[in-house]
Amino acid sequence: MEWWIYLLFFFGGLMILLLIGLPVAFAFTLVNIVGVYVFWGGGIGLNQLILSIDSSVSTFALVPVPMFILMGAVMFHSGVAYKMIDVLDEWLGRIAGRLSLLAVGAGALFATLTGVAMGSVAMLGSTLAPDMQRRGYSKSMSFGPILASGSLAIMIPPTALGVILASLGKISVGKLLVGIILPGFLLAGVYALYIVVRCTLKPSLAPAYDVSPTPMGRRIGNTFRYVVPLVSVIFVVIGTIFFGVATPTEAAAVGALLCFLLAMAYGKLTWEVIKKAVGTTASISVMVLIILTGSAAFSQVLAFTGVTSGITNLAVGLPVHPIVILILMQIVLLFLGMFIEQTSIVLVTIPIYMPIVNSLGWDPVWFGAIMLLNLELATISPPFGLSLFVMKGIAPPDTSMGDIYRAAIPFVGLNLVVMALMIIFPAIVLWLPSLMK
Amino acid sequence: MAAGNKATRLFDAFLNIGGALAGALLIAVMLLTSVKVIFRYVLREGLMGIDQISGTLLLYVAFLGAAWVLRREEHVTIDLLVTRLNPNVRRWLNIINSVIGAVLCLILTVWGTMESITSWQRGILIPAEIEIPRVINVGVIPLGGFFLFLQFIRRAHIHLRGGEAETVNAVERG
Repeated sequence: MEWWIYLLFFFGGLMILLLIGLPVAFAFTLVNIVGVYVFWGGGIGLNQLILSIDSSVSTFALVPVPMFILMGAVMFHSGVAYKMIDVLDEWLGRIAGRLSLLAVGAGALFATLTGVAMGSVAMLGSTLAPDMQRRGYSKSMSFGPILASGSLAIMIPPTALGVILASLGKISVGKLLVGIILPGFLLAGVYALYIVVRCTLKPSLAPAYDVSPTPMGRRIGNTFRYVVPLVSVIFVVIGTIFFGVATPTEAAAVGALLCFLLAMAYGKLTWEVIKKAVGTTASISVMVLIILTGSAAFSQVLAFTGVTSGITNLAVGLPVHPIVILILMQIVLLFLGMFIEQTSIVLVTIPIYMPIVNSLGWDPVWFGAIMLLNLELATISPPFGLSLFVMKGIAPPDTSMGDIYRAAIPFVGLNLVVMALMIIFPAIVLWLPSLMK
Repeated sequence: MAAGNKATRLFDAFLNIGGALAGALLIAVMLLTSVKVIFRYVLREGLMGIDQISGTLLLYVAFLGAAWVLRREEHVTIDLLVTRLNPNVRRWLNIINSVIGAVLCLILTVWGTMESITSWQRGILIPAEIEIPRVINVGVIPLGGFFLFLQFIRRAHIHLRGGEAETVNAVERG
């Protein structure tokens, strides 16, 4: 049978199961069960499936995923992260579009610590957006920056999705985490520049308002008290990976421990905080890990049936420039990302994409970084981006879907500009990893 | 009826224990790995097998907590179509997907048990830094699969009886 018939069978089956509401993890498991039963000799195949479930998850390379989630959970449930956002607010003063900038900064912090973009949209949408509306901010300057802030979630390490992508794609976790630092900060800078320039040229988009000034001494004191320690923890995590002092697994575990110690130093580490933080982490980690249990079998079945080599040969043999193939691959990701959650997209696409990446001689770290940015971009891309619907759900009743689309489009454009820069100048991604020990 | 309520409470207690164990194991992974780093840089000694144990614990986290997460309806689903359907069709789709989930978890339980027995009887070891019996790893798959099977059956029953609203609330009431 032709490989594309198998492809239709696997992806068609998966789509039907997902659309009838079967949780993603179990939809993958069922496709795997049918696949191994048919192609791996019935019951013996099912025995192999059990072993592949073991090998998919029982790997220390995935340890940073729950550890990064734990870091964020401890910082937010203890209230330490909110203190940091307050200090950020104190520093912004009367700058044009200050609440929009705060949304980007706070969203970046929230998302960086949690790695969940839609969580950031939901939190800021319900806290900052009403304040923005009250102060006469336009809808585009209210909802746009909040939606965009989620993009920074996976482009500024620590990022759990980056670890998952690297682990499944057999890319160096450390190099990918370090590789996304420059694009992440570039993205944040481009957002901030856009907001300031736009609000300066057209002040009615974000009317200025009086802010009670915080004395400089207090601002500096608060910065050292609340910002420096938390930022130091993030630097310890990334710095130890960068200088080769610790593996990503070790850096993430020590980072999580430091977050506990930090919360304890602030006197915020109560039993209630521990219970909430560990409970949240366990729930999200189980959800992600159980999806990943199907990763090895899914990839093996695709390879066994010739789907992987079929698609790779098709892509490599296309009479077009490789950049066209890269763009086509990103369009597929963008399309999937409008409907499907990101871990699942990585699971579906990586077994097919990585052989193409290797055949075309692309650097996997560079490709992984572009893919990460695109996965986030998909969630804010009209018309079906998932974050857009989260925003609609919490926006004031007079907000139409059109308002949200219009707010998102400039930031979608900025993401595309940064992605284009990453494609044209791979050094943006690859320079820092090249300095790693 | 009383016996049914007691069984439900007992089952919920098992699921809660699974969730609590998943959380505790994550803390154990954090502490073990941190201790390993401290040993290496402070005491100048390496600790063998920590990475391997951490990996195994992740498998335990996934399967001990899976049914607990399912009861809380927190597994990722694509609700693009389901939420747009009328409540009756949605209810039946939920019954169908719960039954499918139960069947596949039963398959995992049966074949997981067979693989665990084979691994145990043959004394198969995992060829890694520390050679632990393979049954220690794979044994948790049928255990988790069995609780998932029961929870999917309960989910189907709840939808069959009264609809989606009860799914979470009913179990939270215990």
